[in-house]
Amino acid sequence: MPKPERASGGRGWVTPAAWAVVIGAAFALPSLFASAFWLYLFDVILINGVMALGLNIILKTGQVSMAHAGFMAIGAYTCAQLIVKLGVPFLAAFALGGAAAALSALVLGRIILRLRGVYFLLFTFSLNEFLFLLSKNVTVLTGGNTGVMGIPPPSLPLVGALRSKAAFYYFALTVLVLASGLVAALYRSPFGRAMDAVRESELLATAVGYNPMRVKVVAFGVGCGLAGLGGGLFASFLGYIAPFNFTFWESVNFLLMNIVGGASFPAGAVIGAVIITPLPELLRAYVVWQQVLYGFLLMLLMRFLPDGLASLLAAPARALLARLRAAAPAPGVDSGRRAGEKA
Amino acid sequence: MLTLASLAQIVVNGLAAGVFYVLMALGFTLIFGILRLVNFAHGEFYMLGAFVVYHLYAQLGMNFFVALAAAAVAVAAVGVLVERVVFAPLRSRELSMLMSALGLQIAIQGIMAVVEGVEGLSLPSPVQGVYRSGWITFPYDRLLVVGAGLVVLLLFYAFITWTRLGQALRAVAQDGDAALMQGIPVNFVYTAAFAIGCALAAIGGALIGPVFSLQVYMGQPALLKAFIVVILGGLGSVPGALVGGLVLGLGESAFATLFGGLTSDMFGFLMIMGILLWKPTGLLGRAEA
Amino acid sequence: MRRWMRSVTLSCAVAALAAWAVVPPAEAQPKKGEIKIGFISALSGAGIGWGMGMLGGLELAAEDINNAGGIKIGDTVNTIKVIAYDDKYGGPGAVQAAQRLISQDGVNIIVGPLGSVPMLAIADVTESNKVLVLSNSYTTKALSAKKPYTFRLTPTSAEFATPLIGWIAKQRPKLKTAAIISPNDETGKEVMSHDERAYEKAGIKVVIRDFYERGTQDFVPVLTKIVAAKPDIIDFDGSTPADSGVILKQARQIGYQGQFIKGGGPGTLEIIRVAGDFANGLLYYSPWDPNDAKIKALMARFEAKYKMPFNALGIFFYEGGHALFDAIKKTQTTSSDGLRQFLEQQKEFQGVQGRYVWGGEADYGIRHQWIAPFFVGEVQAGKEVMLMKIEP
Repeated sequence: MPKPERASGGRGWVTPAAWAVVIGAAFALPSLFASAFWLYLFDVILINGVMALGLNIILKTGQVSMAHAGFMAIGAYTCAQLIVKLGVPFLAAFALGGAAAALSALVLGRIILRLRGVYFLLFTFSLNEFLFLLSKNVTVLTGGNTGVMGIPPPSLPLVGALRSKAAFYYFALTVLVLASGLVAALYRSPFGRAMDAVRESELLATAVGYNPMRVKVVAFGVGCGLAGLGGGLFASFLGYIAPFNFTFWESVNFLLMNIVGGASFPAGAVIGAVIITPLPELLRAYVVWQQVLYGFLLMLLMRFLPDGLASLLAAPARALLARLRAAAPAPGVDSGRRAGEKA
Repeated sequence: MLTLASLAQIVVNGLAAGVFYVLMALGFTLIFGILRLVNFAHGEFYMLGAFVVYHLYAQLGMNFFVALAAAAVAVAAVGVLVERVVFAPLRSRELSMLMSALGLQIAIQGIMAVVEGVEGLSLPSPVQGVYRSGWITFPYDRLLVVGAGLVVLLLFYAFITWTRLGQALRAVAQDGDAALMQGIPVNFVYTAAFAIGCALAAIGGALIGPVFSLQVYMGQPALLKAFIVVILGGLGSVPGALVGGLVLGLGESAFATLFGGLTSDMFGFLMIMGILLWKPTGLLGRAEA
Repeated sequence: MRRWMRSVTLSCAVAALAAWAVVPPAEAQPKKGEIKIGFISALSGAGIGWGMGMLGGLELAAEDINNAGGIKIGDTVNTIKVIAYDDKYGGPGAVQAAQRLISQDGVNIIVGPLGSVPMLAIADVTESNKVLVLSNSYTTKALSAKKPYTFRLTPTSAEFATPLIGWIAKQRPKLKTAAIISPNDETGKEVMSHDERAYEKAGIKVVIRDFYERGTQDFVPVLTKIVAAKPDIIDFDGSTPADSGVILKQARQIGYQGQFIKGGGPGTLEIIRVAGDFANGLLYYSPWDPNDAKIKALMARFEAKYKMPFNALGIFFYEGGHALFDAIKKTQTTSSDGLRQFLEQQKEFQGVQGRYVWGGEADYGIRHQWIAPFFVGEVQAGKEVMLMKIEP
C-alpha cells in the first residue's frame, strides 16, 4: 500500500517556518532599537504578554477572572521576598513564585469555580481587592505600603546577572516564547478540546464525558501560575514592588489586552499586550484629555471590533500562509503536480 | 468600653449608613436585573447627579428638591442616550457590554475632571443642626437623607408593583423572550430600565453629597459599596438591596467603632466572598433560570 | 520663453550676491544654548493640584530666569527649558517617564516626582545614570547615603512636625491629649510616626491612633470611638485636604469641641471649602504666608498661566527652582556631580520667604533635605491667618 500523502503535500513546514521568522525578528529587535527608552518599553510589553497569555488560558474555559493581578502579586512578592530576605537564587525564586500562585489558584479554584459567569467575575473582583488590602496590612510578609525594595535583576547560572535592558529582553522573550509554545500545544491537545467544550456548554461537556470542574481548575491553576511567573519577571525588572502595582485596574488591563487582541487565539493575548502597553506613551501629548480618549477608544473597540484584532488578522494570515504553501516546493514531487496524480 | 449608649450610637450610625448604601445600590441592581449588565459607570451617574444639584442649588439658589428632580431627569436623559448608543448594539454580548461600561466610566470621569476640576467642593445641605440626646447624636443632614431615601424606596416599590411599566420591567427581568412573546416592547423596556437606574444613582449622589464631600472621583467608592450590597443581597433583587445595604452598614459601623477603620473595609470584602460561596445568588436573590 | 527665464534667474542671482556683499554681517552673536530640566509628577487624576503646583513653581522660576536673560555659562547664554511628563502617581509610570527623559530627551536633572512610590521606583534608574533628582515625596526612604544624587526640596513632617507641635503646645498649654487619624498608605504611616514623635517631645499624650482606607467617606463610625475618648486634639496627619474637611465637619457634627490640627501636607483652602464654618479654629502647617504681597503676586501669576489655584506645595519648587538655577550659575556647570557638591556644601539660600538650609543627616544619613521657613496658620472666619513664622 502506498504511503498516504498528507494533505499539505509535504509542505507542513511552512507555518512553523513563518513562526520562526517572527520569533527571529523579535530576537533581533534590541539590535535595531538600542535606546534604553525603547528597550524598557519592549520589556514591559513582554511581561504584559506573559500575563495576558495566562489570562487567555482561563478565558478559554469561559471564566472571566478579575483577580489576575492578585495572582501576579502572589508570584511577585514570593519571588522578591525569597531573593531579598532569604537570598534564594533567582531561578529558584522565580519558579517558586509561579508555583505559589499556581498552588493558591488550585486550592481556591476547587471552591470558587463552582460559580458561573458574572458571579465568578464578581468574586474574583472582591478577591483582588481583598488581596490588595491584605498586602497593605500584613506588613511582616509584604512590607506593607512601602513594599519590597532593592530587588536585584535576574541572575542566571552561567550568564550571571542580567543588568542591561537588552539582556532582560532576551530572557523575558525566551520565557514568553516557551510559554506561548506550551500554551499553543495545550490548546491543540485533547485537553484543549476539553477546554473548548467546557466553554461552549458545561452541560454538554459533561454529557460527552468531560469533567468540567477538573478542566476549569487545571486551566485556572496554569493560568494563574503564568501570572505568578509574570509577577516574578515584573519584580526583578522594576526592582521595587508595592501593593499599588496590583490593583483591580491592572487586572482590567490584562483582560483588555485579551479582548483587544482577540481571546480566541494565544497570539491575540500577545498582540493585545503589544497594543495596550505603549498606549499611554502615545497619548502623552494629550495629558488632560488622555483619560477621556482612552475611555472612548475602549467603547469604540467594543462596538466595532468585539472579537479583537486577532480575528481581523486571522483570515488574511491564513490566506498568506496558504499562498506560501502553494508556492513552497514540496519534497520529492514534481512542482505543480499534487502527489499521487497520474502524470 | 461598650456602653448601652455607644451601642445605640453604633446601631444608629449603621442604619443610616445602610440607607445610604441602599440608595447607592438600587439603580445598580435594577440595571443588572433587567439588562444583565454590570454597570461599571454607575458611580459616575451618581457623581453627575450630585454635580447637577450643586450647580442648580448651591450656585443658582434653586429649591433643593426641585434641583433633585431636575438632576434625576437630566441624568436619566443621559442614560437614555448612553443605552441607545453604547449598549443596545451589544445586547447579547455580556463581556463587551461590561468593557464598554468600563470605557464609559473612564470617559465620563475624565470629562468631568476637565470640566469641574479635581478639587473637593462643598454641597451644603438644606438642613443644618444636630439632634442630641443622652443616648445618641444624629446630624439632621443625615436624617434628611434617611427620610428622603425611604421615600424614594417606597415610591420605587409602588412603581415597580403597580404601574404598567413597572410590571413590564419585572416581566423582562424574569424572562426577556417570554416578555417579547407577550408583546412587551422589550427594547423600550431596556432603555427605560437603564434610564431609571441612572436616575436613581443621580438621586443617591445628590442626597448623599452634602453629607460627604463633592468631588469628581466620588463615584468610585459608591460603586464599590453598590457592588458589595448587591452581591450580598442578590443581583437584581430590590428587597435584597435593602437587606444587603443595612447589613453592610451595621457591620461596618460595628467594626470601625470597635476595632478601628482598617478592619471595616476588609470586613466588606470577606463578607461578599463568603456569601458568593455559600449562596451565590445572594441573601434574597432568585436562582438563575 | 527659455531666454526670459534665464535672464530672470541671472538677475536674481546677481541681486542676491549684491545683497550679501552690501548688507554687513550680523554682529558676533553670543552662542545660544538650552538647559533642559526634566519634570515628573502627577499631572492628571487626584494629585493634579499638587503636581501642577510643583510644575508651576518650577516653570515660574524658569520664566524669571529666562526673562532676565538666561544663565550664562562660559560664552553661551542658556535658556531654561522644562520637559514635563505625567507619572499618573504610579511606580511604572514614573520609571517610564524617567527613562524617556534620560534616554530620549537627554536630561541629567529631574525635578519631582510627587509621591513616595514613584520616588522609590525611579531611584535605580536615576542613580545609575547619575541624574540629579530634586524631589517631593514624603517617605523617609527617599533619601539615603546610598543615593548621592537624590535631594528633597519639600520638608516632610520629620522636619516640621516637632517645631510645629512644640510651638502650639507652648502657646496652648491646656492641650494635654491627642488623637491622630491617618490614611492607610505609605505617606500616612510615615507622617503618623513623625507626629507621634512630635507630640511626645511636646509632652502631649497620644491616646488614639487610627487609620482608614483611602476612599472612605463616612468617618462617623471611626470618629464615634475617637470622640468618646475625649482627646484635646484631633490631628488629621497625612489625610488629603478633601478628607480632612469631611473628617472635621463630621467630627464637629457629632459633638467634638476640641482643637483640630493639620500637621501634614498643604491645601487649607480646600478644607475650608469642604467644612465651611466648622473649619474655624483649625491650626495648621502652612508652607507660605498667603497674605504676603510677594506670595500673592506669585499666586496671581500662576492662576493667570494655568487657570487653577496655586497649591502651596509649589512654593518649594519655585524657591527650589531658583536655588537650582543659582547653583548652575555659581558652578558654571550642569553636571550632576558639580551641582551635587555645590548643594551639599551650601550654607544657606535666601529665597522669597527667608532662609533655607540643607539638613537631615540625623534622619537620613545624608545632608540632602531642604529645611524651609514655615508658618503656623489658623483659620479665622473662613480665612487663613498666619500666627507665627518658624525659620530653620
